[in-house]
Amino acid sequence: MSINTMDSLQQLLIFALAASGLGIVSSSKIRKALNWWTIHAVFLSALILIEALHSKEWETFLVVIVSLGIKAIFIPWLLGNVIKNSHTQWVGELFLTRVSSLVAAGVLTLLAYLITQPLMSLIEPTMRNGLAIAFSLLFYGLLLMIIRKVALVQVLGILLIDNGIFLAGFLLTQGMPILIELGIFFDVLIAALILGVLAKRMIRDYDSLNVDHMNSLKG
Amino acid sequence: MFIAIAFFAAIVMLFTRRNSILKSLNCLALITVGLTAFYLVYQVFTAGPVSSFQGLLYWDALSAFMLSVIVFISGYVILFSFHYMEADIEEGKVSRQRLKWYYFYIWLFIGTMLLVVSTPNLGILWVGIEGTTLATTLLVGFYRQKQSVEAAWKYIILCTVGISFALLGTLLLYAASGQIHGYSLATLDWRVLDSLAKNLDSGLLKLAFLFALVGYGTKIGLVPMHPWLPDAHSQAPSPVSAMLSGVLLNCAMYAVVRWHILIRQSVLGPEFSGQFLVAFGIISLGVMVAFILLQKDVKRLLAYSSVEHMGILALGFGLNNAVAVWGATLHLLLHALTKANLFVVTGRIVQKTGTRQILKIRGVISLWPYTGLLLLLGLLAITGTPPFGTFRSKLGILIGVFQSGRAVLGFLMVLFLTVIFAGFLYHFSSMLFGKPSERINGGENIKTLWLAIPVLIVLAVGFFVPEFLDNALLQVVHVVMGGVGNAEPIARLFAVPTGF
Repeated sequence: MSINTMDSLQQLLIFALAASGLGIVSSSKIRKALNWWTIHAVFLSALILIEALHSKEWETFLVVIVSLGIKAIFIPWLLGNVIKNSHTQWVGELFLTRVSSLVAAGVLTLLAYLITQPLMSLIEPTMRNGLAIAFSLLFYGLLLMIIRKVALVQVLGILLIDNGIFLAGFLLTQGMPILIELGIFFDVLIAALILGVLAKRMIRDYDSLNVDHMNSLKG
Repeated sequence: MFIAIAFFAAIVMLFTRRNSILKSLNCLALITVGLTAFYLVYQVFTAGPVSSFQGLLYWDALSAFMLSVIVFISGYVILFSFHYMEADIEEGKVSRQRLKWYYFYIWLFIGTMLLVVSTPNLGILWVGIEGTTLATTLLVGFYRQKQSVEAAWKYIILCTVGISFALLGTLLLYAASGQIHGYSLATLDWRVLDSLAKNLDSGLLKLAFLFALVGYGTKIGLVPMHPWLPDAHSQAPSPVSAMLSGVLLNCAMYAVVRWHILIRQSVLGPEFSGQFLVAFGIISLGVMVAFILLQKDVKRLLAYSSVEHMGILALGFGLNNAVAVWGATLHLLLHALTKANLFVVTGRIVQKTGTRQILKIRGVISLWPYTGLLLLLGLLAITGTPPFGTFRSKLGILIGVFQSGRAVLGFLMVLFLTVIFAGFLYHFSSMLFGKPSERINGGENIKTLWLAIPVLIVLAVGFFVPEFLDNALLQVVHVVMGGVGNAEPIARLFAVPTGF
């Protein structure tokens, strides 16, 4: 592949990341949101793979493998398992329904373009979209935390935030040092495991994944 | 070294179910971790910073100070856990099979905290702090009740989201420093960053610090990022609450102080990061007044008081004044001791009375005189009543506030502290002296008094600061005020007496 094709492919993947992020925001079934997440994680790994082929550094290949293994295979499997145990498929729309949450996400994307303006000096102009989309993903994650009250969707929100930061790091600095990168992946892995355990206990104790039921601690 | 021991100890705990073996394993692990850590701390304070594993681990005065706080409190809490968990098992709150998991998580927790204070790398620091969140989540939810699931969920969600902002901050810092020094692991090392500080892009640096402060601030529980804290600290088993309030908050504070030290060295100057710390500090202190006065649950009361004290610490470290930093450092130690002690004592009381409601706990002093005495000492220590050491440390911070000419801030701080004192006195006097319920059997063993060790240390520091402690504090102040490479000795700018 020539450098040029790789660049355009990366651009395409970056927009695919944004699209699958929007897919999660607009899903009305948990199962669907999780499928979108899997696609999202695969796109992310593909993006790093291209960079790895380009730079031919073993560290980058390692990141591809770890990212694919944890984000695209393990987490979907784990969360899918929890979904099977729960009775509902509803994502728990709190303030915004499907359409209006897409509009909100659109506004957040514009905002992301606005706030990444000062960072432009740090990267190549071709990556302009990438950085803005990294911040949009972060915002989509935060949005999900606010407008959805089913525990698993909030987990996806956290994971989206993490992906956004990961993407920003990837574009700004070609990724964090490998030791730290692996540390972060390890933390994500353990966090997903613990959240899975807690979600199962939630189903057992409250018979639901709706976080609104958990309101006894106040004051 | 001791980090490896702690993680190793965690795994070994899983291999046994016998209570007696668990106890001896814990003691063994504590002794080895204690001795190795003590040796290291001694080296750092007498011979200067120590580094090992090709500079992957590094301890200066500040890290060594934190290290000793962590090891001491952990030891105290684990020794108390023996008795506490035994009682919980007898009551049927916890099954015996799960005891080993308790110690497993506790040692993981200790290991991650040791990692946090042993790395010179801001990236690994982040990994470690997130690690402490993960290690403690299942401890917070250790009791299998609805409320503990709720608290654990809130804890992990809010802290993870919050702390990802700190990751973003670290990333921006990395982007800024990588431009100059190249992108490698060493670029996030604060020994390197310190020499680069003057050349870093100020806009990026500002953004990075704000993200880091909000991120780690969530973990410290600074207002308005605090709502998870009282839930998590009140639902966890009491020994765990003691660790969370006594040392974990300090670890997060340590992360912020490391960032603060770096920003102080940069073109932004000492005031930029300090002003945010002071603002968050005084707001946390002020908001907690209301929460403490109106509190009905004794463990939540203590949790809110931790937020208050973290506010005081943020304020002290934020001021560009050696006396204030001296006071804040001493206060960090004394608060850890006092709060661990108080959580342990209230843990005993809650276990005996079966309630956390302040109004339902009555006449502790007549039912259990030794526990009552401990509670009384704890009350006086936490509110900074003279002659306890907390009075000295808070006074140090106050002197710093006035020396830097911020009279209004000083008045506000005194006002808030006074009202909080009144609130504590009101809540605790009703628990201590009221008429006891007749259904509860009193009486206890004099051995309980060993639990008073931390609070007695706090009391002793109030009378005189021993030479080695004073020396250590000065070295820490030096690190905070002067950065890493700067070796100019600071003269004793302040006249805080070390004796009568």
